[in-house]
Amino acid sequence: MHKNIPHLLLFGLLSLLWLGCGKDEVKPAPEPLTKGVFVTNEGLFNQGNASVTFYNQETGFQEAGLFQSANGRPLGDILQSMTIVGDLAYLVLNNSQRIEIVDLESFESAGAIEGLGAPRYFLPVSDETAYVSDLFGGIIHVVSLTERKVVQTIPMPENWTEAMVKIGSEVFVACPSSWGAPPSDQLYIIDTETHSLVDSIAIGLNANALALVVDKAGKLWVLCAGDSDSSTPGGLYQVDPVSHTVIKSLPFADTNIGFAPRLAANPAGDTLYYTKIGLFALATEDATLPAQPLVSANGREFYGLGVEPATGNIWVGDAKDFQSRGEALSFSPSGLQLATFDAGYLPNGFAFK
Amino acid sequence: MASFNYPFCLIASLALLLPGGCAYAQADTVLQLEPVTVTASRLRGWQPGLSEGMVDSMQLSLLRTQTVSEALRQQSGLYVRDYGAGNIATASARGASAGHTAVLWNGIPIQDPMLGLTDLSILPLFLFDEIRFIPGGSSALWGSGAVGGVVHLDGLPPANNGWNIRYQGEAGSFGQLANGLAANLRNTAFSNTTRLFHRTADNNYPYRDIFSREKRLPNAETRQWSLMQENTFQLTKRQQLGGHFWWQASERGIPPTRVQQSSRARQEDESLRAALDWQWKGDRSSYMARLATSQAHLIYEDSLTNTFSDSRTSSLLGEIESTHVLKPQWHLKLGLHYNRLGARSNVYETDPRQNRLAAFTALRWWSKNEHWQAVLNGRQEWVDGAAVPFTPSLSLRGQLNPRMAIGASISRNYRLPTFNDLYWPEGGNPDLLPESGWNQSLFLRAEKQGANWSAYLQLSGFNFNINNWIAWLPQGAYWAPENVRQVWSRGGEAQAKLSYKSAIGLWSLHSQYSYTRSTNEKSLLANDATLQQQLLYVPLHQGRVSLAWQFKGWYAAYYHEWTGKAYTLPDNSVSLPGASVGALRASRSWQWKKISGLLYLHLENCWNTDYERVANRPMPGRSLRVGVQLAVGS
Repeated sequence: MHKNIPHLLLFGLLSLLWLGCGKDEVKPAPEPLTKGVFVTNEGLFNQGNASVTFYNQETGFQEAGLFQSANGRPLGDILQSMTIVGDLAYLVLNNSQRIEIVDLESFESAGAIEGLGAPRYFLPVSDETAYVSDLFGGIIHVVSLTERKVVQTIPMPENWTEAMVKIGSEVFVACPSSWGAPPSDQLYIIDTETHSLVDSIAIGLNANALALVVDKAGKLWVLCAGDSDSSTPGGLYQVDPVSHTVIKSLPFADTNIGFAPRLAANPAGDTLYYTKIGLFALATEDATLPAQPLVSANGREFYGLGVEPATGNIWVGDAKDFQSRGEALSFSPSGLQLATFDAGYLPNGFAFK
Repeated sequence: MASFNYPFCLIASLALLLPGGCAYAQADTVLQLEPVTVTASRLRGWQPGLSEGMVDSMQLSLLRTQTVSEALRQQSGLYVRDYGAGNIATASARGASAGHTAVLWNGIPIQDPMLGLTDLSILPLFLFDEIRFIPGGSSALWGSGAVGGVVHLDGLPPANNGWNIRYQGEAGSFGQLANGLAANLRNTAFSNTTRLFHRTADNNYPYRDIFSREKRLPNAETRQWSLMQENTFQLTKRQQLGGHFWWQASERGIPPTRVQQSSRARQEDESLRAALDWQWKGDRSSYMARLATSQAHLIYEDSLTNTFSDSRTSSLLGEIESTHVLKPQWHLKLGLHYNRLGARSNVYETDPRQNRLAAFTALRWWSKNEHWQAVLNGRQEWVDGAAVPFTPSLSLRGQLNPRMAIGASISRNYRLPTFNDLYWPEGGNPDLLPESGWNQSLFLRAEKQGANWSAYLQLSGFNFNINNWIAWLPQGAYWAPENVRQVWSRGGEAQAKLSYKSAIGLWSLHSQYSYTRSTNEKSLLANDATLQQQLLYVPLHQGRVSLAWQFKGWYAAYYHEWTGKAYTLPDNSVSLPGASVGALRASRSWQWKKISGLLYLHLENCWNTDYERVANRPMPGRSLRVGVQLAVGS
């Protein structure tokens, strides 16, 4: 037994040295995040594995877990959205009830906004102020960007406030119905001068508006989920933001919308892309919805959707089985697959720099 | 009757003594019918091929103010999924899920029909005299859910004639306060046990959130009240009537996870259970009939997420059983079980009900020298008229020599879909099939004694499949359950105990190790990321060791448990790290006239390990508990 002790000690020391060497092998200094695509990976509920993946198509540089690498701690839980405002990005963490503010160059934390219930989307409405929608509170949070706190809340008629778009001095808010509540057919309008609800537009029966974009003519497009309980299909609706009326209604053929349909516009604002299981393209002038998808899902779970402003390429997040790490895929405007890379859990959106 | 083999009886009884080694007297005799008993364990002795784990009586007495989940943490082959002090806790056995562990109170299943689970964190140990965990499948005896193992929570009638009153009071860190009072009375014709228990805790222990902030756990306080009343009446020499009544209520806050800032979720549970049993014992036959009812009410509300659920479940159980001596070496048991389950919840669109009827039979054989025993069981259940898989089992035990026994068992087992699986308004799938599969297990037990020492070793191995495994998967806009997977679990457990009596006290060293490999072998899903992966929250390795010392009323023990890493995501990409947790427990007992007392001090998690049993649900760090037990009797 005693004879073995020196060997054991030697083995122990060698192990320590080996471990020590391992620790010295630091990664190369991160590339500054000059140009590329950010993938927001919402992560799995209560697992704390929300992350942002960065990819530069020109250099091939890819970094998973951008926030963790830059800050040495996890980002949080359920990264719902990322909004770039100047040199900062606002990362909305739904189940962590906060917004993490990061420097866009280094991704180092530059502060946080807390005191939010279940925040979803972030919309700057002035240099001073932003609105934050909320999954449960029946409110829009009014956030001071300088004080980094909630300064006011705007009560809303529906519990769930979702996508927001600012046109002129008004913010249009999509409010799908909450689980168990009757379907919602309204789109709500807030005056940003007074931070108050001023009007609403009846979109259509049981519409459950989810997503909003603005086209090149300045018209608002609303993607509605519909209501499977009453077998009311959703659809795409074009709304005049000045007269507050519906211009065009393009209902879906069925209620089969997949897990989370999304909507985006190309840089010119004359083509809309939406996911409804597959990826579809619609010219804003079209009178009917396309029968065939631009890209079929083929067993993939299209979750996040974004259009790269510089190229018009379309980015889609594949959430796989909603429990494993996903993938990000890009397609040309004509639907040719361009790039693909590994993303984090449940890639639900994109931001571009 | 003629050939009583006392040494063998003694060995058979000893063999039932578990590593805990408590001085528990197995009343079973070999060829006689079991004496009339009000304990539910009427089917004890009808599964001779399965090993049995019992919570050490000394530990049980020191943990009486804690919950069943705390006691089961000491058991080999079980992983207790604990959401934090006072919060939900479930047990999964031998690599199956929590729904595959049946929990029985005096033989009555107490799983929630909506969830198919039992929350062990609201079951105070104070209410039970005996906690046993039997790993292995036994659907042939207990029906749905007895796949990975069965937890028995039993009350025993007072051992002796006379009366006694017991009180236990305890205070501890994080606002823990508990009081229990039990009164026992017994004479030749009647016995009474009344138990009252109350416990509160703030559970505001320190933890670190993922934003690296030191905090105290908010919204984690718990309050609980329990009342249990058990009576037996000896109607005639051959007839006995038993009555059992159990009410309990609890309310608690559901604290935020490490990734959340705050929580306003609250849960209230209330349940009422009552059972009446009648038994008649003849020389060659015995009969048992029982009627049991259970009503449970669960309210969950969260003002932050606008969630409110109000659910009531009910169960009505009727059982008839008879046991017959066919020949001196052959016993036959016949039984008919009826269970009517119902639920009413604001989250359901209907008020689902289920009628379950089961017929079972068991044939027990002893070899002439009584060294070998075999039981063949068969059980067929019908759910609303539709037959579920027939579940046979064959269980064998052999006494190789006075110091060594082996056991083997093969059985088919199943689990019925829960009410949530079937009736959840968005996703509920009424076409689900029961999960089912075959289970094989083996054990070898050896013991040896010297003049002042004893040693004990048990090795066990198991292998089972669960087909039609139900998983909730994204389907369109919501998640829905499907029979998609085939799970294969295999592994083994080793337990050893050494006792040594010296001039300065009795020393006992007890160690356990378990290895569990449980994987998803087949899937109907394309590209299922869980294929060939270890199941969630099933650590490959778990081990425990304890060293206890007893001397003239003094007791001191150190317990150490080590849990290997457990995966928290189905593709095995993320895991909880392994954790070592230690506890020091000491007590001093004394006797003064008719009053006996015990004062105890526990230092739980003495190394202040920061660990989790469920991802992002911190467990308490170092804490102290001080308590007193007083008993007075005739």
